[in-house]
Amino acid sequence: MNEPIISAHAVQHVYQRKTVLNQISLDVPEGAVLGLVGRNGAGKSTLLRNLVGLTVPDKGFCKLDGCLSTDLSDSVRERLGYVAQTPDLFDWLTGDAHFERIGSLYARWDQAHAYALAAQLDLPLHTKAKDLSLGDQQKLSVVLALGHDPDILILDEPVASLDPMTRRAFMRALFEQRGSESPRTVIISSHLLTDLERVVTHVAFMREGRIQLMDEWDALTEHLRLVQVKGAETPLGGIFQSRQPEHGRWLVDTRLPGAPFDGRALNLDDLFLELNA
Amino acid sequence: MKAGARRVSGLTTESPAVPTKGRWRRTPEALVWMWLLVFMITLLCAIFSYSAPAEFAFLLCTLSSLAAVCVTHAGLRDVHTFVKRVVPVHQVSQRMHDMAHGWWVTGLLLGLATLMGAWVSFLAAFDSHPSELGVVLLLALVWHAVWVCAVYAWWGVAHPAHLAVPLLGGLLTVFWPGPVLGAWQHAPLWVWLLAAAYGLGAGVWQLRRQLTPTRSALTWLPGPGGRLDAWARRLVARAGFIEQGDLARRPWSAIFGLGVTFALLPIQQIGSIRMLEPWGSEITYYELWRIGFLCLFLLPVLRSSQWHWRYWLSPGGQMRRQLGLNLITSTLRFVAMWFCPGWAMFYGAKQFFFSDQSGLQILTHLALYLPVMAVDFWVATALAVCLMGAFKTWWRLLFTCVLLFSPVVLIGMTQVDNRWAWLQHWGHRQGVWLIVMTLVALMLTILAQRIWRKADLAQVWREYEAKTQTLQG
Repeated sequence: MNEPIISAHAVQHVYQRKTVLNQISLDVPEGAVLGLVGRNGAGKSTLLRNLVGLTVPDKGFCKLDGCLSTDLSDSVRERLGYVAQTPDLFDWLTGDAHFERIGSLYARWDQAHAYALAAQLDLPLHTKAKDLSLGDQQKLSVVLALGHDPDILILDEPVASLDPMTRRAFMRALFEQRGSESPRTVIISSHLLTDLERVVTHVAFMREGRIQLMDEWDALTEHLRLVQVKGAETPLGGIFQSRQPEHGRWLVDTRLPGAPFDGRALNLDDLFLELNA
Repeated sequence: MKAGARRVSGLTTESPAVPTKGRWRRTPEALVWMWLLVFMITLLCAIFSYSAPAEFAFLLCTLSSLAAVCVTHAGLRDVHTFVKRVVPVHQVSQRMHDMAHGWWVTGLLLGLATLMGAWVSFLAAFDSHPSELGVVLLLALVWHAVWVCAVYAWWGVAHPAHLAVPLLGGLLTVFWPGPVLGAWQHAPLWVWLLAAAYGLGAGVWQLRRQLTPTRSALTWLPGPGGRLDAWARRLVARAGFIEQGDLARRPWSAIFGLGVTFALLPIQQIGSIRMLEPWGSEITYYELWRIGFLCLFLLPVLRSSQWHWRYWLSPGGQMRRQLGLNLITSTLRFVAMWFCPGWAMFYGAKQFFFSDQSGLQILTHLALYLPVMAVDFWVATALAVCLMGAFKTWWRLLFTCVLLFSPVVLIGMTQVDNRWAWLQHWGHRQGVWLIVMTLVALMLTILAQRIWRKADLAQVWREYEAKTQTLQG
């Protein structure tokens, strides 16, 4: 495995006396596409804001490319793209004015690429941001994050307001051929699990400020099984019991010794339901 | 062809709002013809007008319409237009906006010049030469319009040319002061007018350039002239012209938000209490109240040169450890460049028109305010930055209430017990006060730095935006 390019170390964040992030540690290798999955309020957005340095954790720290997130160097900022949960645009500027304004800050900004992306996503560029629909605002936010061809991309529910066709175009844009030599590392938080399943290499499930489960997606699909047991016994290799114990369902990791292989394989949707039911 | 584009008169316009039927379509080409028609009509009116003011007004319209032709035409001259056969309608309208904006600034500068002239008793001179003033104005307008065209049509050529003229003039004056000054003294009126128009047009053009956002130094390597230009732009940008961009393009509501602060101008003196005090004045129990009010007025003006998380995350963005200081210095620069001159003009005009003081006396009094204003605004800004970063809304409200009611509390204390009588008079604004206030300001600045090092930037930004919108609403 490559050295982690994005990492969080025992991050704890308390907001209004509620622990939003509870001792979260995370390592994302270079080139990985990590899907961050969890229910509303699980702490996904806070974690992502911590990773880019917009929020400071009460304990622990985050690093991007070896640089503390709260003190990012210009070279890391140049390689970072971030899409927030809300578009947060300059309301009084049009799309192309946004390109001028934000593009001027990045040495690697490619105006032609940004225009091509905008055309691909069918984004109107001569309308002020405040007059755009929420979906178009989200598209503009996405194009602004991708315009400088970042190596590290952190996306907080970027496709929540997009229609299925635009979502597909967005995913294509995300993983199209790039000029850069280094592979792009992506963390994407989304509730659209079917879309996510197609693109992720890693998945992390969050619940109540903790990471419940994180692994390569291929490994999870290959080794994780849902088994039915009778009574209160814990099956060998059992890692997680269904939230409703009376059902007697367990998630089993078949890599553990003695674990049964006869369980049901799960897709991302099933796994999310099992972990959050 | 792009979606939403349509072919008009052999060219294609990007604007979907352009009507396809009718003789007077609002295309750039139609605009050119329209301006030419206006030009001819106003020229005829100017020729056949009977009174001098009417002639002047028509001539102004004539030259304006001619300049508008140039500007509209400049919009059609882009390579974009000829290669792709696409007329960028929004760019043409942008140029028109630029020109109108430039003229507005010209008018403002002339207004200021007239006001200053009145102050130093040159009003009579202005009154006796209205026609010369009119000619300078017209020349400046046309000159500015030509510049706008030149900038858009031939990038980079106009700027060095316009820099070279004052540079050459300056060098000539330095090396041969006698002949140059002598030549100026004996120069005919039209040379003076031309120079004045050039200076005015160049000033406006340069100011507009400063207002336009530019690429940061990271993306290109400018030459010495470019570096100087970039430095000047940064200076202006940091002075608060640019708050998430140029102020000129912000919604009116944002500008009204700033107006809350500028309300200090007319109400700076409420009865016997002054919001701004001169050096040597007495410190009373209203001191906390005064600082609290200044702090309140500064809250909607708080700014950073990069007040948006998109700037914070971009290269060259602020490091967290400098954020508190950046907020304080950016706000103070804005206050120094906008509020203080505005207040000085207001104060000067008030003294000039409503007292018997001479210009020199007014200037002396203004100078006495300077050191006190510097420290007062520093303390108030640092306090506002701490408040914005540290507390929730209701804490801020409580804090404000405490400050506002402090005079009542202090008076009450002095009434209850004579031992507190000293609270009514805290001495005078002199050396000790200056040292104490500077220490307070320093402590607040350090505190602000610590607070903003931990602030949730995304949250704070949204909250501030929402807050200002509420205030403006």
